[in-house]
Amino acid sequence: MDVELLLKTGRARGLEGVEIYKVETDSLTLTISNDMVKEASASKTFSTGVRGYIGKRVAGVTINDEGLSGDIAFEKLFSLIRTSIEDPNWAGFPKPRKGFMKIECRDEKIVHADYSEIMRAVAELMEIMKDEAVRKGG
Amino acid sequence: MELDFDSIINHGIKLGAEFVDLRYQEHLYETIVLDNGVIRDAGVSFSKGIGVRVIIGDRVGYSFTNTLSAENLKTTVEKAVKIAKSISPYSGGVSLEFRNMVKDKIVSHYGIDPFDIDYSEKVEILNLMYKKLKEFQELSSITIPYAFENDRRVYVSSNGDFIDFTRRMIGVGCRLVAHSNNNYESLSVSESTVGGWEFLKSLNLEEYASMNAKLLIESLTAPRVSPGRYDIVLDNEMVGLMLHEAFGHATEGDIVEAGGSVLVGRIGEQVASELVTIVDDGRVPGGVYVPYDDEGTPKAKVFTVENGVLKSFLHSRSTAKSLGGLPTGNARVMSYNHSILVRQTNTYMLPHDWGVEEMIKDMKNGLYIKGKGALGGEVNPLTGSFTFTSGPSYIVENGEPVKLVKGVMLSGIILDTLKRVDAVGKDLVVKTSVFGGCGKSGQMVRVGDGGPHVRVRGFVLGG
Repeated sequence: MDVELLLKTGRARGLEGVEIYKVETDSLTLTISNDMVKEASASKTFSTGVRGYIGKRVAGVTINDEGLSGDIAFEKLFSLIRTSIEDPNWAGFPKPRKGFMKIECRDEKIVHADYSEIMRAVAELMEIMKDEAVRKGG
Repeated sequence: MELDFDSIINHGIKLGAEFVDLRYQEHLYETIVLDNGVIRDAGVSFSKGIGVRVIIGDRVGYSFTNTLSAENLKTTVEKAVKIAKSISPYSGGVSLEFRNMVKDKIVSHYGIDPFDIDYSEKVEILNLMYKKLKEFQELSSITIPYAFENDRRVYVSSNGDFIDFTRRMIGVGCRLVAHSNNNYESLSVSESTVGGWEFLKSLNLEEYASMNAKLLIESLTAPRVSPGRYDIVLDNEMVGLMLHEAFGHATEGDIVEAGGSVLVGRIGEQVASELVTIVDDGRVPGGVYVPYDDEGTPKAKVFTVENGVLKSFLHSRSTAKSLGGLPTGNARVMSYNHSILVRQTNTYMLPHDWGVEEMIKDMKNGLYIKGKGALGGEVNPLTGSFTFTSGPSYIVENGEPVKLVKGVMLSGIILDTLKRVDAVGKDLVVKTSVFGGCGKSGQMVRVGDGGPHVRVRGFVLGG
């Protein structure tokens, strides 16, 4: 779901303010218990939040379904905004920063690392932590 | 467009998996919260995704995604296979108990889909409740939540299973705070069901709001009960809360397997009064509807305790294999992106033959403990110890509830408590909630609980 397109659609449909928050995640999760990997799972997911307001009426929708059309999302959003009671304390969104900010906090080396290597590294880390704990704990 | 589940499974098998199962989910959650007359939280969340589990030898790999392109689905299976292959030196083995192949399609009963109802109608209902509650000057905060959930789950496995199950749940409630003369009390209540919009239309929500406000305001000036040992009658909600938290968790196969349950090694032992029969059931009226678990196992009505004797634990296919039981249909996940845990569905005690008034009258003196407005508590499945705080309750004198008291703290050891049961009512009530559920290892699932009224002799109350 394209962020810029969602923004444009929101404005074109008459929202005074619209904000989109999108997170894409690649992850490998290991749960370790009693020296063993109890569970391991990999994932690739995205999540998109859309919030908009008209006057002092504000509402939001969350989209974790890439098949959902922007139109359905905005239809629901407008329906929510229309029926919202005005929030007397609503001050709008913070003033925008200049330019579009794209923050990269992913390391491709880690994302594409070999799972065997990761598990070996985690096992070694566990050993080091245990040694350290024994050393410090006397 | 429906996904090609077969090709995802076949890809896993081609890569060397001996077993592949898929958990596909489409989830919609709609919520409106009217906070002191202002809509603070109105939103709808749409999500769709798939979880893949593969087994190679006795090693398991999980992977999940909500990017559902054919290419990424292949990658997702490949990741699960890679995990299963690389985890070997570092993990223990897992194997699944056999069960027969299942194919089914189920949509839970509903009349009107709440998603088709305009928001204005939903907000109007909440406003009616708000206006009624505003008539009570003692209320200093009024929050009215509404929620609707549509949860479709498709389970497909390389054994040929295919289950397509959709459940709709809806609910409304109120969270109230009242104060008067520096006394503050709060009450949080809700009503939910597996069904549609017709449920809300069937309730007299103004009366419901008013009744709860009156109870809360009355509890402002109610005295506290003195700590001590009392004979008590627990109402349906309180029985459900205690059974789910203090007993039900101790029957979950993964907790038993890890040695974390007070019930380890006690199958066949008398653990409760002969009047006590406890079941875990996915199809009881009023509860959450769980005809199949998230491993595709049909949900069995499990008698964990029958006439006081511990009969069974709750199982996934994995814990059934390792503990020597049968899969009971209790393998559940919060959503497609979680792995299997053993969870309760609806935990309740079977009714017996006492009328509620008869039970209280026969008790003569003690307390009538109510669950409405009960706060959570703490439990330790390893010891069976628990502490809960009830909702506003009643002192019973000469066989009559005579005076309201503030919520009381109940603490004890569940197996001791269940042995002290000397009367079980004939009024079974089971409830569920669309606003929350049971949390375990970071996963929240919808559950239900309840029972009849139950009398316990010589129970310790903390005041």
